[in-house]
Amino acid sequence: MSTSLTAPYTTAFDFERTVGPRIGVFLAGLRERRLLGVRGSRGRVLCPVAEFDPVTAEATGDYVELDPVGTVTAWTWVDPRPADPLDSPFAWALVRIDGADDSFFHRVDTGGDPSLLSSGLRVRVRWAAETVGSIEDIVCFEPVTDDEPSGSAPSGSAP
Amino acid sequence: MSSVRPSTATDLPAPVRTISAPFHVDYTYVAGVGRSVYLRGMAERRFLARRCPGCGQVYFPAPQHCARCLQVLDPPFEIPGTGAVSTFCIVNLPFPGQLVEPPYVVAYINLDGTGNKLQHRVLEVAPGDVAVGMQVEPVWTDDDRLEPSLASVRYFRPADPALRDGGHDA
Amino acid sequence: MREVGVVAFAQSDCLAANRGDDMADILAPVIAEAVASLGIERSDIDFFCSGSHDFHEGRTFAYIESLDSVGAWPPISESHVEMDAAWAVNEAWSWLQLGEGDVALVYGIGRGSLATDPDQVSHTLLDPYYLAPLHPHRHAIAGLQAQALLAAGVTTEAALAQVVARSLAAALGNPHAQRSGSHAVHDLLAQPYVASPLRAHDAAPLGDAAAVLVLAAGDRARELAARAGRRPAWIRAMDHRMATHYPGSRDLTRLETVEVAAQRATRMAGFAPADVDVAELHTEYSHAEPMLVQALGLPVGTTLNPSGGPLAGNPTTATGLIRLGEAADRIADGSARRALAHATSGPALQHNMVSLLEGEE
Repeated sequence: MSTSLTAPYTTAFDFERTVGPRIGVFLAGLRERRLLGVRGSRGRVLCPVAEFDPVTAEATGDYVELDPVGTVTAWTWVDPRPADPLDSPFAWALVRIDGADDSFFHRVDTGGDPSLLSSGLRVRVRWAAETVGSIEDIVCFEPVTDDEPSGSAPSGSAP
Repeated sequence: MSSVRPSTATDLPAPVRTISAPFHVDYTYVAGVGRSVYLRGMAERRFLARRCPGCGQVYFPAPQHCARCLQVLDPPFEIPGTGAVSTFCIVNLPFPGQLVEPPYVVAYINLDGTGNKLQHRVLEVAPGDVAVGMQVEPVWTDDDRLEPSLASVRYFRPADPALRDGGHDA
Repeated sequence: MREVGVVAFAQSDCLAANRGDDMADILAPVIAEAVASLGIERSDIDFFCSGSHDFHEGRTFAYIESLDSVGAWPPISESHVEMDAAWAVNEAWSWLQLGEGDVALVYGIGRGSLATDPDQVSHTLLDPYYLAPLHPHRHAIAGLQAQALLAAGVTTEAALAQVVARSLAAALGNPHAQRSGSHAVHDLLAQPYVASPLRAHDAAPLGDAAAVLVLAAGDRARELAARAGRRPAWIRAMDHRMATHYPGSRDLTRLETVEVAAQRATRMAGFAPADVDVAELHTEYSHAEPMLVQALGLPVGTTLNPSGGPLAGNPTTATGLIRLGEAADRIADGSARRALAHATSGPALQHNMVSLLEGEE
């Protein structure tokens, strides 16, 4: 017979991966439901935290505490897949956290309604019910509602 | 309005050291026309080899093309499946998914009538009694477990019954 | 700099799924075709270099199997890149520049069909801390980039549909294309989004294929090309530049890597992308074309992807190599005197290579 046999198989590795010291602090912050940034070169604030400034490759500096609120800068609307934590269509998006100079890649949930999404939409973090110290401690971002303060810092915070 | 607040060393959380990073991909294996010949033979308790018309090399398992001459190999023919141990090692370490309790022998076997080596287990013999040059023969799995896979050969054993210990047959 | 040119190119048909052949068997006839056209023996080839990726093939060291298609006995001088084989051309070109030999054979094989769910593979190619754990939709980062381009006014959905329509119509003349046809823009725009503003046809269709390119230096290239009845396509310049990986760390609407690579290639070649007749662009998505045209400074009138480009067939790690081969073939058949080949790797055009090719005066 001149046909080929085929068979299904799976490749799987249960890797446990070291994350680096600064990413480790960022992820530990998520576990406490805190959003940390870090100072990059020329005072830029990077969130999520990077070990090295992506422009200059210099080691990043001091940590900063950020409110878990930001603005959508780019987005794409997709249908959910079985493994996604959201059941309705949602967006993959870049979110500029207030006070940060780069953008955060994550999901945005508008309850399945794409018409609510736009660049400039104000969003806040929706935390996972159980946090473990992973980027998945953030389930997604969701629109900031009218009856909550829109990302203003607690009074008395330093610039 | 600024939401950026300096964070001091004292109020920082202790860093996470590791994250779970599992990797899982489902694939389709495509054996290719050449290797499918030997695989189908395995399901019928047959060792099907192929010869290169260019250099005469006989392959088991055989691909479709000779890896030296790049010519398409000749049609398959049956070989007995017997052979001689070319080199071997004694496996002492346990590992997940291991089919045989260590210690046991894994050998390269020069299959009679072929020019390449086949890796397989050599059982029914005390590891210390295996030697280079030892003649071995295949032991097939039961009929209801035959499949198009080298797993249809459970293991090899000494061809000479006097050399078998009878105790370790996986 | 040594004169190094393409003297042969061959490719298999791009198939959505090849379920009959292993890697060596997909490659073997393609290599045989390229080598036979030059009338040489395997022993006349000084260096072999290839590109493939284990995560697509589903096995560690998968490329070892494909080595059976060139024959690694007696021993050969060989190398492999774990990425698109366009970068294997770069390695072979550099190797020939060093004067280590006169003839190099580069092959690429891509198997996009073996993974049951392409999303399972795509996330393994991303940052393991902030991206891979989220298992993004495989078109998610491209969708973000396309949306950002629309918002920046660089292109429109109708313009993207025109790119697709033109590419698939061009592919009607390409016997190796996986996808081709005549499509009205308004029909394309009526299709649903897969990752807005991208529709299924905006993404290059994954599939299986192999491609082979033979490089030779100086008079040896002239001699071999003459035997094959073609003109050498001299690679006058190659340069590749990479940007940072994380999509939130760069301006997705601008390809500085392409701008820099093009500037350096221009200095090396003595002519610019604006001077080429044909450009083969590694457009994994339709929106890559307007971005690349802008970054390369290609004027209106440059023929873009006359083969149909990746939107007509995308055999993963062979796709960039095919751009080089198609560009060389346009010089060989006389339809272009100068050509550009672009290859990309990584999310949202992170890593880009620009090659400038030229025919004999």
